[in-house]
Amino acid sequence: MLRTLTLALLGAAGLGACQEKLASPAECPDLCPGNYDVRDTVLAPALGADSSFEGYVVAGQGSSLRVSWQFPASEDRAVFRFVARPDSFAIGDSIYPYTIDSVALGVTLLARDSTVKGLTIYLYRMPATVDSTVSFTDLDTAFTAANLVDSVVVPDSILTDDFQRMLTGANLARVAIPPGDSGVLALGVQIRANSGTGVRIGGSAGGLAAPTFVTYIQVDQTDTVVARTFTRAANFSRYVSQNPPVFDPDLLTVGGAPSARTILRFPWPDLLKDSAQLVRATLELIPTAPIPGLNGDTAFVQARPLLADLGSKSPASSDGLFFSAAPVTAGQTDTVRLEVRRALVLWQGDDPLPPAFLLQLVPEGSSFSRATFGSSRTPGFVPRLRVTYARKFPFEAP
Amino acid sequence: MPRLVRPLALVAAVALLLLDLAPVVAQSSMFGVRGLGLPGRPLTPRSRATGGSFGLFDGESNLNPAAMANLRSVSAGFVGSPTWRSWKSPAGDASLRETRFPLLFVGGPVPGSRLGLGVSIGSYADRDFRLATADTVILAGQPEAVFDTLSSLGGLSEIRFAAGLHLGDKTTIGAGVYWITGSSRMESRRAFEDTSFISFRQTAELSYEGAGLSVGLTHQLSPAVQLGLLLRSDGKAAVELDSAKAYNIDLPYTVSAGAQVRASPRLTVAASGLFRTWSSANSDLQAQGGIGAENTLELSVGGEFARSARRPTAFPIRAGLRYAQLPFPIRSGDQPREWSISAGTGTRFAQDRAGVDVALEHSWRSDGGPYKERALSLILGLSIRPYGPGGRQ
Repeated sequence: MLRTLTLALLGAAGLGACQEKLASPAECPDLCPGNYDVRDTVLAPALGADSSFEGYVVAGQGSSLRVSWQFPASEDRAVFRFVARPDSFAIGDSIYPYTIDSVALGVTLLARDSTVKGLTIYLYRMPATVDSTVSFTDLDTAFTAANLVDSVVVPDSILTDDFQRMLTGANLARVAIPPGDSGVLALGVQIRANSGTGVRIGGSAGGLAAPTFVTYIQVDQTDTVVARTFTRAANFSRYVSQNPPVFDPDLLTVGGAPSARTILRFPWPDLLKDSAQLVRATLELIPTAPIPGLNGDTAFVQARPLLADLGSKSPASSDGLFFSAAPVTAGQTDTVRLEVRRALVLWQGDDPLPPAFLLQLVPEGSSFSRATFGSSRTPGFVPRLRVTYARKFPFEAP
Repeated sequence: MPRLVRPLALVAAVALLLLDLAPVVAQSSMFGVRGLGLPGRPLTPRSRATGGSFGLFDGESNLNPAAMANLRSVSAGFVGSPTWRSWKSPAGDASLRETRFPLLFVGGPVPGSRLGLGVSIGSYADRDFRLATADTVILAGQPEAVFDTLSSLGGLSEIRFAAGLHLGDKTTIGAGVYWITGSSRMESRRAFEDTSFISFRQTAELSYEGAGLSVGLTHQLSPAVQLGLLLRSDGKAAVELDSAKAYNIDLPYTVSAGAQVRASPRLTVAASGLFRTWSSANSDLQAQGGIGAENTLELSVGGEFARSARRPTAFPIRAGLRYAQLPFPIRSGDQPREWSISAGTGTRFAQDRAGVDVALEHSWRSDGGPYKERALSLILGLSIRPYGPGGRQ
């Protein structure tokens, strides 16, 4: 009998090893003690608590340069200047003269409107003295046939690429640097296409996309001739626009050059600060006009939580986890929506950040896009912060 | 040594079974979701096998303190109870299981006296569940599909200090003091079909504390007939939510009476009834948004047939039938009820210093509407009597 009982228990142990469901289907309200309380609320910035500031990133300081021709959004010319090329070459302790064999000039196309065909990029010789005071007129008048260095016909199928032009022989005269320029070469960029359009090319801050100026030389030593190169990087770049947009302090502006940023402050109720669990938060920005831009070249409105509210110089979080971004496209009139729940979590707790965002455009100082949104002073276009939150579950309800 | 092999194998099998089941996420009765949960039954397998009818006369069960005086030796033990259950509800069916340990006891006679003392820990109410629901809610003016999970792990236990005293040869009286305590670790989760809404989770701990008193009586009416009586009051339970006082719940009075008849030297039968005034908690529960509570009546009959008159503890056959009302309805006005049949046996070994008792109980529960449940419980008890069956009397 004892053996039988033991075997029976062992059998039951085996049965017990089977897996079964861990949750039971239930139907509310019968089997739902308590109830979830998830609510929506819409917050608008307090009147006057939202403002835009201009002058953060000037043209040319961004990662790319705007170049456009007969483009409704903007008419832009770009210029860059390279680090001076020495007039001799040092080998060991000795200085040798050199002769130029060839010169390679490189530009990188970063964005274009693929619907506009027949794109040609022109490189022009610019005065070596060009600097940040240069105006659109100054540059435009320098784009003459006499100053043309070379051109690049961009295949219609190419959206982005590096283009290099090699100058040899008689063409070297186009990039010859007179002694008075102290070895400095400056180039301007203009485009033409089948219709008005724009492109973005790499600027001096563009990293691998920055313009290049490589000189291939031959150095005459006493008993031999050696080939060497000078590679010069651009140490100045800028683009200028024919008709820069006028900054309107009553609107919320992001983008442009010099770039504008916006600080947006919201009243933040104690309920949301202390005890609500944020489920979703969407920042809604309503454009006051179609957003200018280049077809196919998407920019992004980025929202970052402020670390401290110090006005136009307020520092914002640099932790990408709390960034939010939404694309803006050329001609967009729809509301721009950014999911900002993670940032709003920083507005909660015992030591919250100020309930404010810093808005900016990415890429900043480079894009053709410049968005203007309604502010608290623009009836019908007031920004909104739509917050969905859960209140504490009533666990005590039996 | 060989004589120990079989008992040890049996103990190992029991332990294996309990260990096998213990880690599983518990799923108790659907009729324990509301209120304080499914009332516990801190009885030995012997009493459970007889439908609970032997409880008033069983000193090892956590029911009648007067029965403590009937313990003939010091004993200690615990009871484990894996349960397999199937739900039927309008939302769907489910097969679930849980393992509870409804009773742990130590007790025995005080040498040289007519007094029996004991301490036991028993289950008062069981509130383990994990419920999954689906719904559609309106957010930002748009319908959003949501999936919710609400779970509770825990319940209430009672710690009893009891004493029973022989008054003459026929009557025992007893009294018990109860400390009712416990907690439910609760968690709610909501997930949205639209992943723009982040899933969220909230947790809380509900803790309960209260005290109770009981007095009991057993009386040998004739050599074959014994009567039992129990009166108990459980006062109030203070409920705290995350250590902050939330509210109080009135706990019930209990009245129970029963009779045990020794029909023959090998056959003992019993019947008992138990009434609890759970409706005292009704207003407290409703004030918190609950459905409420109703009084309960339990009736049970059962018997034990000793296969050997010389060794009645060697694999007797036990059986019982029980009807009970459950206190916490799922739907207002529809008090759930249950019917149970049970059977069991047991044995003593190691010169009667250790014992194993087993009961199998099948229950049918329903609220008379769409909510139905079947449960199969295996009640396993291990006990030891270190001084032997007649020692330290």
